[in-house]
Amino acid sequence: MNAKDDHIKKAFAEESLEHLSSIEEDLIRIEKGDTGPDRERVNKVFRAVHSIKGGSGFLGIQNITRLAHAMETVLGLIREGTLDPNAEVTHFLLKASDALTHMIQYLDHSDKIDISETVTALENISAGSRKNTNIPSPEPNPNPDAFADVALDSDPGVQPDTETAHDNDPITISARDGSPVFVLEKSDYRRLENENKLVFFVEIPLETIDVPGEKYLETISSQIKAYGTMLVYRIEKKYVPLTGTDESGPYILLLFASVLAKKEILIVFDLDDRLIHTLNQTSGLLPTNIQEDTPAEARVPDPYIPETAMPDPDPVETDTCIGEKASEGLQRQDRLIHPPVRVDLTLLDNLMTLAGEMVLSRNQLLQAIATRDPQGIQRVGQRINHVTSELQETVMLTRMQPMGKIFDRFPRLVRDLSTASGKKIQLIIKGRRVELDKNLLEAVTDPLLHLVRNSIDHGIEPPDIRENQGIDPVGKVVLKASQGAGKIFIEIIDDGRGMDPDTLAKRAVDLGLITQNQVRNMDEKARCALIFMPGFSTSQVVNDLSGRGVGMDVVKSNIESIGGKVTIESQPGLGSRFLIEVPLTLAIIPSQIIQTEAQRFAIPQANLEELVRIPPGRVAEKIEFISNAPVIRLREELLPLVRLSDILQLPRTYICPDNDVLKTDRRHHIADRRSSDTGTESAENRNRRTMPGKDRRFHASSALNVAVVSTGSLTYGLIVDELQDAEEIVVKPLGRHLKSCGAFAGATIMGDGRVALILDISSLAETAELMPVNPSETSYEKTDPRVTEKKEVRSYLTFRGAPEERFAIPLDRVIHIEKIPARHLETMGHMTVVQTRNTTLTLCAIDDVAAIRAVPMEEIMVVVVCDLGDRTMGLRVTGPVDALETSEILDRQTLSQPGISGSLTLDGHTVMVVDPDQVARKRYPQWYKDTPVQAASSDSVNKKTILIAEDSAFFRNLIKTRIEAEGFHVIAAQDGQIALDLIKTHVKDLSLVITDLEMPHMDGFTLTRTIKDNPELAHLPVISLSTLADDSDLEKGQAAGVDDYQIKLDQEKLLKSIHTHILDI
Amino acid sequence: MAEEINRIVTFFAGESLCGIDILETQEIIKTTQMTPVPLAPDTISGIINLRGSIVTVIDLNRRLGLSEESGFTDPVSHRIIIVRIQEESIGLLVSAIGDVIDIAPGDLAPPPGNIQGIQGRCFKSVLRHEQGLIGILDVATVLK
Repeated sequence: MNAKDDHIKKAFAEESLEHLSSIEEDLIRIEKGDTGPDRERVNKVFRAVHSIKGGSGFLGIQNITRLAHAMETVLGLIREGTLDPNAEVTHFLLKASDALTHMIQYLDHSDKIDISETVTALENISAGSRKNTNIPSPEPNPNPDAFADVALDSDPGVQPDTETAHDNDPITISARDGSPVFVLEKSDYRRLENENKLVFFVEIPLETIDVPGEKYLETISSQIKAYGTMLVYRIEKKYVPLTGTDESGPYILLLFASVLAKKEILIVFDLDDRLIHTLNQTSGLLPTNIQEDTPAEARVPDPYIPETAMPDPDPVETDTCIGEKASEGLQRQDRLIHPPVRVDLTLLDNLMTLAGEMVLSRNQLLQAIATRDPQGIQRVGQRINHVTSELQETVMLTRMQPMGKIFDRFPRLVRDLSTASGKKIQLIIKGRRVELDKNLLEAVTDPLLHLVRNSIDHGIEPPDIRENQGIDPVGKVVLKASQGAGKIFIEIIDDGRGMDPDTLAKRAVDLGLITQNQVRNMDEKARCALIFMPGFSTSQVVNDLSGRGVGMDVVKSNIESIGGKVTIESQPGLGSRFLIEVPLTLAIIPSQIIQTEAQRFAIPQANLEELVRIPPGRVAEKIEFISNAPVIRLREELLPLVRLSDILQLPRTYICPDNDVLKTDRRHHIADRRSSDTGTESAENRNRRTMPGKDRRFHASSALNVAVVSTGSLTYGLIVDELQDAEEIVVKPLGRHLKSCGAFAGATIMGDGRVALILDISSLAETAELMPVNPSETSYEKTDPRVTEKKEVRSYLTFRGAPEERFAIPLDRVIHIEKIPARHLETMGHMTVVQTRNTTLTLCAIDDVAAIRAVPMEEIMVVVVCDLGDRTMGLRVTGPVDALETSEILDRQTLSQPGISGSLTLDGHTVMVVDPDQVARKRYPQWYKDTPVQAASSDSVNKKTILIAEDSAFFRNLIKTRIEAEGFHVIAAQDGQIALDLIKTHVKDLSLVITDLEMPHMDGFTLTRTIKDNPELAHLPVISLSTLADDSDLEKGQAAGVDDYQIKLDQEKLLKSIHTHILDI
Repeated sequence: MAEEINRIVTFFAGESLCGIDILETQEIIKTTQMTPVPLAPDTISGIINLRGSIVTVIDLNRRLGLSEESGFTDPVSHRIIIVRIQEESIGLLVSAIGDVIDIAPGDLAPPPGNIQGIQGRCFKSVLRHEQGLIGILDVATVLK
């Protein structure tokens, strides 16, 4: 029963959506028509709305019926010519058609959607129009559909029978000569009445039709099936209709029961209204008296009168906004009714043939197996191979849909936007026939809508301004699709004011998205691309046209998520051009299969830049590993490295080389790998002896396999265990339980029938928190290598620490360089000093403070004397010392640590830049007595324990190492729940809690609240961490009791905050 | 409504005997090679290939909060009950399959507050049976 209902509903929805898809365009054309409304078109819309109403009436969906009815009334007036389809009328009709579409998409919820506003508006329009044209509104009968029937009423001799008199008599319908034509049992009539149906007596003259009666009857019955039930029919060779002409002729007579009103029945049958008669419940039709008196009919419940027949829509969950907002809420839980896909008939035939081939091959295969004919099996195997490929290709073709499908939505959008903004816009659409995979088509729809909105909103100037500039006041927006090289190109071009790179840059700076310095290093293209940054908007006033809150960054990420890209070209005053490139299809993608921890994964080729294999012997040399961030230098570009198993939180294992047993790899982070890997033989041996479990990297299989992947703005290296084949894989969606875990774009079935997950490269980067804090920095350096030429030139003094580590110090901090014999060195307390030039110079080496290799002590020391403002300090280094100028931008993230402010790439080498102030502060904190760092340093700090709760292994390790370097003891937890358990067990040792906000199981807010609510724990200061400072998070955090709020990547500030809070205890 | 159930498939989730309306099941399959999904909630055992579709398999033991461990001591008896809900097939990994039991309308009772620590809301009713009480799975809730 349910299934059947569902089936009917689905069919209704599919059909209705198809009707609605064309209504929009038609309505706009009707509005535009200069020579009055196009009757044919109005009729078409009328019929469409009408059949929706019929269907929904049948299904008892009241809201849809009600709205469709109101629309129909207005359309009827337009058709009659009594109502001018002006902008206002069209607006409400469009709104109503939107609401209809929405309700039909969410059929089961349609009655919860509040449509009363639209209905009232439409009713007012029809009522107003009627008043203006002096059509008398029949007071006793508010049903406008009764007009036609009322007119018939003027026939004399109406004998309204009383209900009681004929209660059980059958209703007889008689011809003009009194002979009975049909007899209808009263009980049948009642039943129909209870179903809100009216019964019509229809006389169809046959002379108007060429086909023979029987044949015609067949056609007609199939046509009217959708609108009601044909109760009975007969064909009369000689028949005189009840009214009108006296001539006799062949007629088809039928009784038709329907929920529709007479007015609509006229359209169904396309007949003169004199030939259709409504039966009333008291009597049949007398020879000359057509009994259609108003009072009688008024008793028939009319489903279209909202006041009487419609109960109020469920007031519990009323959506006042029918548009996007309502759908958001519904989208997830509810079935969205998918419109059907139209497929070319020849394509279907091909599919059919192929399916036949497939069956044939199967039979042959079965036979070959039965007769054990190996050659036969091989032959059939080949055949199946061919047929399958062809079948696959053909099925793929059925998914291709013309761009027109989404382009057709734009005239409406442009109309609405131009009306709302007062701008005049001409929309030019090209390439409607270009075909694109259905899923992709859907995926580009929203970005396209947004870009067109953006063009109209920010691009096209108001007509007066355009006129003043001497250009056509009508702005042009071009939507163009084309195909080439396995890709679809979609362009959105406007001839508006274009984008001024400088304004954009200024705005970005004002918004705090980038710094003035960064702007200086950007070319025009890069500045234009700023609008793709999160949080960017040029509009001074946020208006509802540009889809508030949904910025161009979303457009960009949406397009990138389907493997496409979007670029901008713009010239101030001439217009802008957005170019979207998307692949033809997504369902089958070429991909690289990789393996990590015995699990296979697929990386889409679109994301794959290259594969790098570093032989075991060269790992140390190829990977620069300083501080905690492993990087690989690939053609002079620093590439962050992450281990896939770390991101996916897979326990790392290794095969013990001694006995081939699988063991858990106990190394905590990639740093361990390299910590003692100095590349010398002795170091290797020492390592082998002391830590037998860690020698995996010297094993033959421990070559590093790196898949270099990119996601538009970010390129990084994924360390995997094994690189396997490149394969074409079929993308299959993951179930809804797995949608939320990110990291995967889907799954695929491998040749052996097992499932492999497809990696979502950009989500992975997010999970690993690899996203650069400022995406512009990396992307712009990449988009234009020339940018560096414009950068500020700075002078550095370069030197070395350990022979293989290079350092630099800003030249302006250097007073002079001295060579001092090591024997002059004196240690006083914990200070190292030398006597030189009659003064005492305090000495230190960078390895005193930073986690770098030891600076070897030489007989004649090279000492760089640095200026610290009010004092000087000697930095013990090794040669060769050189000075050079560079425009390289200091990378403050990758290698930053105490004493090291960042890194530079100079002549193909990574050089760490020393910050003498930090070194001094760290080494000789007593010089900075007034700052908290001093008090917190040395012994007192060492005993303090800090707990870090952070779900990203990457960040957890990063922060942990950094804080440990500061001399704290660190306990790490990967989520709030674990953190809480650890806090409870370690509460005596703990001094401070640092927590991420977004974590699985228990988030940072809950953790903080739990700590602060527990009297035993409440004393612990809590510092919360987040990737980006967001005011709402900040407030929420404060409400939870967070003591301080820090941004993850600003480690210096975090450290300062730690010191401050630890001191407070 | 519970009264409409007239036949159930029984199965073991860990040690507990549970039942599922036979009409809610699509098929029962032996455990095939399962691909674990990293980062997924631990109630999810993994995904399998069911004739070309990817099916998420839920570890019913964990889902019902029966044990932290998935409690699958004898992998040979493990089965996956495939249920179809909202046009998606989802697998429920159970320890073993029991009998198919016919139910008379009066046999079912509303679930008591808890059954061996199982959260009552995962069961829509309870069947009194000679083998003991059998909780009838509320599939929609379990799959939430």
